[in-house]
Amino acid sequence: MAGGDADAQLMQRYAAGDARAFDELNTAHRRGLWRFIRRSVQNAAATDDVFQECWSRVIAHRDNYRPEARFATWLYRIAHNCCMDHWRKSGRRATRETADDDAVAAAADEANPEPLAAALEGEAGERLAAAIERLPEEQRAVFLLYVEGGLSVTEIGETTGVNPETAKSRLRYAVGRLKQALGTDAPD
Amino acid sequence: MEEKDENPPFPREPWQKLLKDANDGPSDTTDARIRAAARRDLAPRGRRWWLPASLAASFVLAVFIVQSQFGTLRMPVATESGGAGGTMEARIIDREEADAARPAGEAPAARSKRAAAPRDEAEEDAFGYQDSELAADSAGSGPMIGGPEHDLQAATELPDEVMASELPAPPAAETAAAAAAAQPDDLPDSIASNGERLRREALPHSATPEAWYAEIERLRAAGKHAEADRQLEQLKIVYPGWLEQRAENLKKEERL
Repeated sequence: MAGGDADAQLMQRYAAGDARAFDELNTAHRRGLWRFIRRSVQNAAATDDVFQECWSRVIAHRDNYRPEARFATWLYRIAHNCCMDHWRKSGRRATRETADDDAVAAAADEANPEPLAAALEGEAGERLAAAIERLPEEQRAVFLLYVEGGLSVTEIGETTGVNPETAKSRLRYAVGRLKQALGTDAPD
Repeated sequence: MEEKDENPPFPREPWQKLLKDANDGPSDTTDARIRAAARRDLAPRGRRWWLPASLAASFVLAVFIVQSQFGTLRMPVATESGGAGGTMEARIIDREEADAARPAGEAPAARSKRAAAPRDEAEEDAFGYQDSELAADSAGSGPMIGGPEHDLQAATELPDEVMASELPAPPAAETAAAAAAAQPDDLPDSIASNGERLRREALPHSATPEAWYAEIERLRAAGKHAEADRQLEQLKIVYPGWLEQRAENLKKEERL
């Protein structure tokens, strides 16, 4: 599938012992991965730990990597698992898996009584970041995997363990809520 | 990122522009740490031989040290202890017992030469008894504590170098006879070490301080003052405090 994936080739080169290939991979994905993790764990101190843990797993499992999927899919699946582990360790209970995203969104609004007011302050980027923080965890993960990770809906479904339709539904809900938060500044 | 969806729900680029922040990213330290870990993990596994090798070397060294220490510690054990089950069983053997225990036909060769002088006979008894007991000890007989054996123990506590340099040299004939009597053919090499040989050579004089002092007096009477002084110094080393004790005893006798 990913025969033409340059990142997959870099990963294979690294697995074969080419350290510079790893540097290229790291350079290509460090910012996107960092933002994904920071917005997922919502903790500046923990972001660094989870980020390093993610790359440590990439290093440790390099021999197990098979270019059957895109490298980004593999990388963000590891990152998503690292975030889940972080939530478990920190005692934060992940939102239960449910197809009822309306109920999840309503629960999130109750937990944050003035989400829109907070999101409307500041520049559009800051308001978007604040709105992302207020998304339910599953919707936030799907949105970040789509925007920051560049994963397709199918890949997001594989990464988060749901079917593509559920992933697409969550993505739709997330974008709707973010557009609502950004108002006229929201992208089309 | 490479998009593989046929029909993406919405374009992600405008959202990416909103989320991008020039200062948003990992620190250089974090990047350096990750890349260093990546390189470290790539180190050929062949270079990791030193870990098991160093462990094995440490083990061998520890075994060698323990063995060498154990061998050193066994020296006195071989001459002073033994018996069934390895228990420390002390027994005092006086000269009569030693004479009675010795078979009539197995007297050391030197014994007949010294039989003329009573003083020498005492030395020879002690000497001969120790030699036979030494041989018996090496074969695993009971321990010996006290009497001439105690003197031997005191002598063995001196370093070999001191023994070699400071103990009195017995007459050549006595030394040869003593060595012949003291060293049976089947004596283990560990027992017949250089230090042990020196201790045995010292026995004619060091068996008892009284005998040694009498020998010194004899030398002094014969006009060999230098030799007498040298042996007196050695007696002080081998039997520290004995001369002082003797002087006190003489004073007490004079008072009485």
